[in-house]
Amino acid sequence: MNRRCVAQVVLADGADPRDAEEVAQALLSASEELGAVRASHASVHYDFAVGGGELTWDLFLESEATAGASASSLGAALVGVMNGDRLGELLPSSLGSLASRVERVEFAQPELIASGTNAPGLVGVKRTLWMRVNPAAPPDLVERFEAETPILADAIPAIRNWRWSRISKRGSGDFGEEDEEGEGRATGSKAEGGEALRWTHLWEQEFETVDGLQIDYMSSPVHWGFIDRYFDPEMPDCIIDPWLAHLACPETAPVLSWDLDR
Amino acid sequence: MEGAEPLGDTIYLIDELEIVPGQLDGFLKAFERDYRPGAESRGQRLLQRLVTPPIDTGRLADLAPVAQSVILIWELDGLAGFWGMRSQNATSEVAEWWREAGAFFVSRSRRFAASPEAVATFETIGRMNA
Repeated sequence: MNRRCVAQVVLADGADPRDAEEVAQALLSASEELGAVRASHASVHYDFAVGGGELTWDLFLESEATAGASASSLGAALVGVMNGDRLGELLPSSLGSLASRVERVEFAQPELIASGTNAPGLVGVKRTLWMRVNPAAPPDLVERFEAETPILADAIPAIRNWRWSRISKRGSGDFGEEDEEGEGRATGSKAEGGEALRWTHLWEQEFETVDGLQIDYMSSPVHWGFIDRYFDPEMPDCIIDPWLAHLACPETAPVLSWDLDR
Repeated sequence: MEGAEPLGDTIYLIDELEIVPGQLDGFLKAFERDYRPGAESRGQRLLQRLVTPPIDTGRLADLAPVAQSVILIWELDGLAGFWGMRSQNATSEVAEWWREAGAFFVSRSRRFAASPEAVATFETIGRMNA
């Protein structure tokens, strides 16, 4: 059973920017009280984040200890995530007093393709790139994209820790199969109504500083001159929907070096 | 990245399109009318517009159709130019151009390139916080 969850939290229209910090703290507090949660980290995105929510919430869930968790609505929701319930049915209604300030929470259950941990215990900057492979993309191209993406971590030493994953479709239906023109953006906002998650892949990295992401990552020729061909809509090999969620936040604790095998 | 002089190293963009026999003139007209102005507004500067093989197929009417390719060489102002271009090319107009231009070519490739010296510079910048 996949026990890691990564979520982007989208605040409700009209929410005060300060609400993001309060929501992050509230999510941390709530998850600390749940027996099913082994580790939890929530942090507000930097201003340069685009395409997604206001904060990222990382969770590491126990696979068995769910009895205590189900005592609260949030706990029940998280147990539901683990069990593959439809993602949109879980939140924000399960967030209790936070519900009015949260529009939706998009949960992903990463299915690991590859990972690297060069700096165990690093507390730095976490960047999460949520993306969607066009459903019409040729399978051999998708396979090559999945195989080549980790080259970035090899080429850019500022990427200390990283995880490259497909996003589980279990219980999430087939979002956007007919969405070839990227018109699913509006649909994506209906997650609370039971729509499935639109994303297919998750590329997570940890840097020591923002410069590692903003300078090294964006300057590496392996990025702009090689891997970007899967993202550039003018390249024949483009298979990624231009609507990406490029999210980064400061860490208050290690995340990608969580010992998932304990 | 502000103030880092090496970021100005030129990045080249090379398009190569194998043109449907007999469609060269039509492609070039459509390219000048429907693509080049927008591309230049995104920071692409056209350095070369070449045809290979360099023959006038109109004078070879009695021969089998000759497959010709167009090679377009553009330059971008370094990383700022590259990412500036990339921040503007995910539009319906650009997608429509490539969709409709497909009638003019059999296949195409697009590659990015830099001088060997510039590659070394980019690699260095990409490892500044190693």
